[in-house]
Formats: sequence, structure tokens, C-alpha cells
Amino acid sequence: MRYKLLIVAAILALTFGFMLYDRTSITTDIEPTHTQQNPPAPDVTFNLLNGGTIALHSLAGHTILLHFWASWCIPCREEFASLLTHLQKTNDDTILLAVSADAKAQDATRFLAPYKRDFKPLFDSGKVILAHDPHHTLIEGTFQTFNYPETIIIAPDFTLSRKIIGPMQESLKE
Amino acid sequence: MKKIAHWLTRPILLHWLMPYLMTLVITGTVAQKYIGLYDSQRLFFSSFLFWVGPLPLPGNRTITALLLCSLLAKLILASPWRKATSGIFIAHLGVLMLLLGGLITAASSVEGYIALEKNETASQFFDYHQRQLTISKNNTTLMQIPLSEITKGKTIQGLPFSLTINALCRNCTMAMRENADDSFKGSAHKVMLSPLDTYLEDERNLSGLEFTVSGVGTYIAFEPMPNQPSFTIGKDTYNITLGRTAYALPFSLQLLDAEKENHPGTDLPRSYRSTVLLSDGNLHQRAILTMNHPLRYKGYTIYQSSFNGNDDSTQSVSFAIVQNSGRVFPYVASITLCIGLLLHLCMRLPTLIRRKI
Amino acid sequence: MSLVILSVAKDPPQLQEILRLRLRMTILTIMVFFCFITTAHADDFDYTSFARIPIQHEGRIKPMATFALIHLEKFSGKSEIADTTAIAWLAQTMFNPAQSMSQPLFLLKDPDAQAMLGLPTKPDNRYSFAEATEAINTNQKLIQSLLQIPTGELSPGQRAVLELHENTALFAQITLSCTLFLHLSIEPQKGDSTFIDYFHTMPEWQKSLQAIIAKKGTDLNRYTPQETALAEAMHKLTITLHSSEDNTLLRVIPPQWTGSDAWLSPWAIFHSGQGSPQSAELMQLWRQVTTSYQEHNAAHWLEATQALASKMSAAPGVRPKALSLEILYYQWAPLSKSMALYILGFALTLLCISGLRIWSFVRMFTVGTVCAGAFLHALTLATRIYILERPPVGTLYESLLFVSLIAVLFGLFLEWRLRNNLGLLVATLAGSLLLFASQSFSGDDTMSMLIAVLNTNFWLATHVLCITTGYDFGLVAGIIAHIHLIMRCLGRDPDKTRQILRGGYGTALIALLFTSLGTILGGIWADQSWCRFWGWDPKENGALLICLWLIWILHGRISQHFHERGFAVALALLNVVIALSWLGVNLLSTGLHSYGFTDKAALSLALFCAAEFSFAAITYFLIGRKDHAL
Repeated sequence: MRYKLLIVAAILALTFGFMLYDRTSITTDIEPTHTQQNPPAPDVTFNLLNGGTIALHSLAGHTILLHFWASWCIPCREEFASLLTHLQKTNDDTILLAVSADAKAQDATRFLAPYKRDFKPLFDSGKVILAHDPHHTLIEGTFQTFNYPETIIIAPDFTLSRKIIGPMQESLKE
Repeated sequence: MKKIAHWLTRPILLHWLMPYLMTLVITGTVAQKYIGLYDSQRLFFSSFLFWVGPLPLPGNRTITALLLCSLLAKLILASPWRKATSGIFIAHLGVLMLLLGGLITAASSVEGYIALEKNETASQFFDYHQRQLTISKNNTTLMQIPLSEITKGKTIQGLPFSLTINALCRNCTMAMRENADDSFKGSAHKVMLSPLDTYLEDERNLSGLEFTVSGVGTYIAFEPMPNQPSFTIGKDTYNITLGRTAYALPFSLQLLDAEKENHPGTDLPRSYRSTVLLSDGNLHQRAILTMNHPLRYKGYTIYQSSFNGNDDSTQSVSFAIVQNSGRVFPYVASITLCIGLLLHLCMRLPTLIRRKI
Repeated sequence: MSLVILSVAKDPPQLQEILRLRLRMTILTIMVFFCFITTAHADDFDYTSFARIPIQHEGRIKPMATFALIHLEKFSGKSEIADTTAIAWLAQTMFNPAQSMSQPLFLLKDPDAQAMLGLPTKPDNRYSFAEATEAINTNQKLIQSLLQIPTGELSPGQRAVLELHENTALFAQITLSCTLFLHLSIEPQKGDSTFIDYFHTMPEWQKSLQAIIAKKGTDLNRYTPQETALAEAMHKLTITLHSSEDNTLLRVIPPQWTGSDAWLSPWAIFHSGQGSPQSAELMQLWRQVTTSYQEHNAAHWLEATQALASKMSAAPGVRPKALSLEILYYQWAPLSKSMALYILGFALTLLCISGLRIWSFVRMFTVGTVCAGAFLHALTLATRIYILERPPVGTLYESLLFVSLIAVLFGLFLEWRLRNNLGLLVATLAGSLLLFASQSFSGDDTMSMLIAVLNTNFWLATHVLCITTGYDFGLVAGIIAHIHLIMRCLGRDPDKTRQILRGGYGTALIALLFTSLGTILGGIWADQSWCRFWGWDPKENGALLICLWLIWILHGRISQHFHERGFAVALALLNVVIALSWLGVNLLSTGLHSYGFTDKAALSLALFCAAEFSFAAITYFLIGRKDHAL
């Protein structure tokens, strides 16, 4: 009889212990967030619109907005203006490397003329670099951009941080 | 009394109750295909008695109550403590805990749902099945009557006016009303309720009723209608609402974010995840609910139930919410039963499976 | 020829889907026959590396070999076609789609379905893509009406028609998957003449073409040869581009940017802009693979596929060992070998118990055969666990595999304890019958991912393992009871038969432990997921029924309400209870456990139950007569 009562008491204690714990705690699970390492940016060299070349690696240490555009791309017009306005406002060391996909350099130059006029100090400061890739060797072959505009953000540690497809109006605010 | 108690310990009771219980389980299971889970549960499993034509038969609750009494009587009066049968004793205790937990759950548990949109807060939840008619005066609840207590032709007592039920249906749709006179007010002037066959899934049924307030007019109250009937008598405004029975929560929940993750490249859901803010007085705590990981607080358990929205963003989320005092009994019962059976097996199995010498 | 203007009218969703499909089918047929050049005839390619390339399909990363096998079996019902392995067939479909169009592939056995689509009856009931799409295009209205009918109300013929419709759409996806890299027959030729080579010139060509149209209209007869070539080139490029817009089946490029773990197809990379320098390398490798196949260059093919497989083995989420193991698993099919060994073991066991004087090494050989079968069986399950990274009880098929293994292992344990061939009989019977039963469900087995509520290793490992183990021991107890009843009918030694029944009693006790614990664990899992411990769901009721049956017969035996004969019969009928509770409840197609449903086994189940009841009745009667005679 003693053993029976002991076992019953143990079970009842277990039960009421559980019930008390249940009523007084907040229990849920919070899952850990996953982190992924960014891959390194490729070490490529762009042809500049006005002649000469620039190695992407030479811009390491800055946040690089690698922006692909074309003069025939209608959203690119508004996008370019937003990018330049954003760059003008921020005091950090962000550099805009704008790569034109136009077949002819004149089309690109014609597109850029009004921006160069309106944002002259910015262009003079060296924060805007203009490149040209008429055969899309780097645009499509390396960076896999087939539609415009697209922007790849390269972090100061020269890793590929983010890709923004289409206009990056909202993303600029972040 | 002692005689009854000793009679309850006899094994013949179990021997005859078991086949009946199994027949009941089979019948209730097959019936679900034809009358739905909810009705089958009510008829066979949650009842003490059910009728087959003129014949009354004991329902599951009667059988379970008898089994519980029998087991209790056996454990107290007919289970002398012996080492060889200690495992059996403990196992039976486990079964007893299970039955007791079932009894407490049947008697006290309340379950329902909350549907929240992003940033919406709720401090009450709604029953899945029970509907109620709420009559309020100047935005204060005057009376709440379960729909199950309302019948056609009934006049609701205890109100400052006479309210008579003309028609009601468990599952209704609306049809155009033709040649309505001025006694039909509000939406009742244009539409009328038309009964439909009930769905097997009771949650899909939409209840409605038509009622007349003497001296005022005839109205329709229909569950999905956003504008429920309202009328004025003297200086007072009365609202009549038909909806799921609501239960107040001692805390509030706000939906902060929700997402559904599919297995990559498929439409098969991998996980559901909601972030909520639980507020109770000075306590404001963020919590994450996912499938298989509910939130528990003050005896309430809140479960991730369903999503409404597309893959990338979700518009609203349903949470299932249960208050069940008997929740812990199955956990204790499983541990006890496992220990008991293992103990018994360890003692008996070598002799049962043994080479004959 | 007029220029293609693509638009979809505002029609109901199903009609839109059908119109899109019809358009795609037409485009595909034109494109494949006129656009793409190939001289490939790929009999002597080495597919080993190609088979190992990972692809994300149905939420899981699997080798290309499995992807090929799943689709070939889905389309044709076979794992090989026209002496071509599944992987070779896939390569041909992807890289030489023109040849695949006319190959008899799609199995359509149902005569009603053939009649509905106006397809001629063929000896092997296999139709090519061209034949199937023509039939589907002609019967668009029929397909549309069938899509409106709820699945449960479709006749077998109607279901077969819709299945053919779905299969042809999938096949179209596969043929279009590599058109980004295939040679285009376009003038002037540029580079490798793939779509990618021409894409960046499209805007310029579009401008030129618009100028021509403005000047000369759309009548090609007024164009110069160069202008005609330009118009044709733009036409082909445009339809290539538009037909690829939702080509997402071949997910072979891992996600390049954070925030997603969905892999992308080459066309999805192109359209979505999700590419990166890393994916550019992979696309280049795919291009080399495609080109080498089209040029029938076996050496380049081998090099390209090896490079691609090697590069992909380092991609995040890819487990090269699991991929290789999966290829071996399907190639070697250890489960069918295991079943063959169990059947052989059963035959040998019958020999052992026949009473004939046999050499002892025959018995040893029998034990060895069963052990070998069990080893292969266990290896199969271990492989599945390794590949899927979860307990092997997520689907009905998997639970049958698991249950049969436990039954065999327990049988071997019994044999070790009792040394009277009972264990061997139990092991071989349970193993071969359950594996045979699992064949009904193997067609749907693609080692798939589980839905959210099942996607929890803890509960799969506890509740499901526990309850299937309980079913297992229950089936073994039932088999032991059958053996006891047969021996009683044959008038064998009463002590021996009684000993066998005691073994059955013990096994039933173990079954009770596992089924009751498993049922309660299931309730606890339901409490965690569905907010209630018990909901009288059919599957739950089925598990409860087994527990109640076991409790009834065990208590009945202890309290002597069941004599030996009655207990044995009731224990034998446990198999019926388990079959109905485990498989039969699925036929009700109702309840929350809506993830194991099948309507395949209904007739087999009915026959099994009828046979068992007959056996029980006959043996009860015969043994009763024998007992009265004594």
C-alpha cells in the first residue's frame, strides 16, 4: 500500500508541477537567423567612356555602386537622376561606376550631357566614373545583366553585397 | 456502494465494453465521411447517449466514464502491490491519468481562433463552431444567446421589446426578395435567407436568422454581413449581431510580421512563421510562432494556423487558440504508461520468448 | 508570314493557361524544327559526370540522374526508353530537342482517354510529343472542361487525359530549358550563334526592322533578301525570348544573392536579373556542355561535364557524397534485391520446416540469405536517411519500408532465441509481403520533401517511428498467430504450438507498448501543432482501434475470457485491424491527416480482409472440431 501511495504521489506531483510551469511561463521558440558570406567581386577592367581603362579593384575600400544602364532604357533616365541626387546628398565615400550598354559611345555621351551639366561638381569630384561596354562582354558575360537598369552594390571589403534589379528608388532610402 | 465498487473491478466489464467502444469508434469514423467531423464528434464521441431510431445507445462519454470508474475501483480495491505486477499497476495509473485528462479537457477546454492582419491587435478570440446572437443597447451588451438555443417561432424573453424568430438556418445564402413591404427593414427589404445543405466542414457554414421586433419591423442577421441590423426605440439604439461566440483574453496580441516559406522552387509549404507582440499590463514581449512551436501564456496556447496571402508577403494570419487545463495530463500519462509497460515487459518477456529446455 | 504579336485576352485563368500552353507548344514546334541546328547523335557520350550535376527539384537538391529518372518514369512508365538510359534521354531532350519530338514517349494506356483525344491505338500505347500536342491542341475545349471538374470526381480516362496534358507541358519545359545555349539557325551568324550572342544586338535590329516596316509594311515579298533575313532573325529571337519566360524547371544555378534559397534555371537567371559573376561561370560551363553535345564532341563533352560537376560540388547546400549515393541507390535498386532474397529465404524456410532431412548448412544458408536481405534492406533505409537527412517515415511508402525492416529484424531475433524456424518464417513472410505491398506506393516515391506540419525531425523520429514499430510488432504477432493456427489445424505437437502462441502473446505486449506510446506521442504532437491532443480524426481513431484491440485480447487472455483458440484467432485478426487502421482510413479521404492519401490499394485491402476473415473462421471451426473430438 505504501508503495502504491508513493507512486501516486509522485505522479500527482509531476502533474501539478507541469501545470504550474505551464501557467506561469511564456514559452516559444525563436529561431536563429542565418548569415551567409558574400562572394568577392571579380577583378575586371572597364573601358572608360572618354578613353582609358579602370580596374574595378582600384576602387576597393569604397562602397561602389556598379550601375548598368543604356540610353534607350526609359526608366534609366529617372534612375540616373536619383542616383546622382543621392550621391550628392551623402557625405560618405560611395563611388558610382556607371557602365553604358549602348552600342555607340555617342548615344551614351548624348544621354549624359544634361546630367553632367546639372551635377557638374559631382562629376568633377571623381565620385562618378563613366564606363562603356558596347559588346556587353562584362555586362552580360561577367555580371549577367540582361535588362536595365541594374545596380550591384560592392562593399568596401570588395565583396558583392547586393543586387538591385530595376530602379533602386526605395533601396536608396535604406 | 461497496458491492457496486467491487462489481466495477470485475474484468468482464472491460471484456464487454471494449468491443462496444471499438464499434463506436469505427461507426463514428466512417460517419465522418458522410456527416462531417464536427457532427460525428458531437453525435458519437462527445455524447453520453445517442439514438438509433427509437433505441438509445450509450455514447463515448458514458463508456469512458464507466471505464474510468472501473479502473479506479480496480486500482484501489483489487490491485495488491507485488513486484511482479508493479509494471501493470504503473501502466494502469498512466491510463487513469489519460482518462482523467480527457475528462478535464472535455469539461473545461475552450478553443477558437483569431484572424489578424498585419499590425492589427486582438484581445478576444472566436469559437470555431458556436454561434451566438448578441443584443446590445447603446453599445453595451444586453444579452448573448447561443444559436443552439434559438428555434424558429421562439420569442426571446427578458428584452425591453418583443423579438420573435421567423426563420433560421445553419447554412444559408441570400436570395432576392420580391414585393417586400415596409415592414422589412435594412437588408431584409431587398434580400431574404435561403437555406443550403450544410457543409461537412462546419467552419464553412454561414448561419443566419430572420426576426421580427414588434412595432419596429423584420430584419435579417447573417454571419458574413458587415452591417448587422440596428434600430432605435425611443432614445436607445439596439444592435443585433449574429457571429461566432467570442471569448475575452487576459492579454492582447498584435501581429507584427508573418511569412510563409515554401520548399525552394515549389508550392509546398516548408514553414509558417509569425512574429507577434504580446501585451499584458506592463509586459510587452515579442514572440515568434511557427508550425510545431506555439506560444504559451497564462494557460492559453496560441498556434500558427493558416495564412492568407501570396508567397512573398502575407495579408492576414489565423491563429488557433486553446485554453485547456487538462493539457499536461497526456504528457504525464505517456511517461507513466511507458515506464509501466517497459517494467512489465522487462520482467515478463524473457519467460515468454524462451527456448523450451 | 506576319510578325508575332503576343497578347493574352482577358479570359478565365484556366483558359489563359491553356492558350499560353497552346502558344508555347506551337512556338516550340516551330522553333525546334526551324531555329536550332544540331548534328548530335549521342550514343557514345560518357554521362557519369552529367549524372552527378546537382539540380534543385521538388524542394530538394538531387543529382541530374534522379531528375531524369523521375521524368522518364512519369512520362513513359519505364526507367529506360529505346535502349537509352534515363540520363541519356534527358541529355537528348535538353540538347537535341528536335529528335525528341518524334520519339514515342508518353504512355497513355486508358482506351477512353485515347478515344477522347482521337489518338490511334498503338501496341505499346506510347505517343510522341508531336502526336500528343496535336491531340491536345485539337481538344482544347475538352481539356478546359476537365480542369473545372474537382479531381475526386474525374473518371480514370479523364484523369489520364489531364495527366498527359501535364506531362507534355513538363516535357516542353525540359526541351526549352537550354535554348539559351543552343545554336540558332540565324543569318548573319555571330559567335557561337546562341541566343546570348544575339541578345545585345536585338535593340539595334529592332530599330532597323521598325524602319523597314515603316517604309515597306509587313509584306515580306517586298523585302530584300537581307531585310527578310533580318525579319526572320528577329522573329526567331523574339519567340525564343517569349517562350522562355516561365521556364523554371531546370534549377541548376544556386541562388546568388542572400534572401532566398531557391535555385534558378538559366532562363530564370536571364529574365530575373539574379545573375552574378559566379553564376556567369556556371552559365559558361553549361554553354560548353550544350555546344559539345550539339557538335558531337565526346571529349569536350566529358571535359565540360566534369568541370561543371566539379564546380557545382562546391556550391552551398550541395553534398557530393549524397548525390553519388543517390545515383548508386537508383542504379543498384537494393530493395528489389532484398525482396528477392526474402522470397528465396521463405522458400528455403518452407524446406526447413517441411520435416525433410536436410543438411544443416541449408538452414545456415537460409539464415544467411535472410540476413543478407536484411542487410540490403537496412542499407536502403540508411541511404535514404543520409540523403534526406530525416527519419525514414515521412510517407506511406517509407513507413512500409521501415515496418518491414523491423519485422525482419525481430524475426531474426526470435529465431536466435527459439531456434525453431518460427523466426525465419516470420522474417521472410513479413519482409516479402510488406516489401511487395510497398511496390504499390513506390511509383509516387521521389524522396520528396515534407509539408510544414511533418517537417520536424523530432516528432517524425518519435511518434512516427514509435507507432510504425508498434504496427510492426502487431503484424509479427498476427503472423505468429497464423502459424499457430495452421499448426493446430495440422495437428502438430500441442506444446510447441502453445510455445509459439506464448511468443505471439509477448510480441503483442511489445506491440501494445509501442502503439499506445506512439498514439499518445501523436496526440502530443497534435497538441503542439493543431492545438488539441485528440480530435477523433480517422487516422487517430485507427491508431486507437489497434490499441483497444490489443488491450481487449490481452486482458481477455489474462482473465480467461478468451480461451487459447479464441485468443489465437483474435490475434490473427489483428492484421486486419492494422491494415484497416493504417491504410484503410486513407480511403475515407477525410480528416486532418491529409498527407498519406491514396486510392490505389482499396481492392487489395478488401481482398486481404476477406481472406483473413475466411482464414480465421475456417481455422476456428476446424480447431474447434478437433478439440471436441478429443
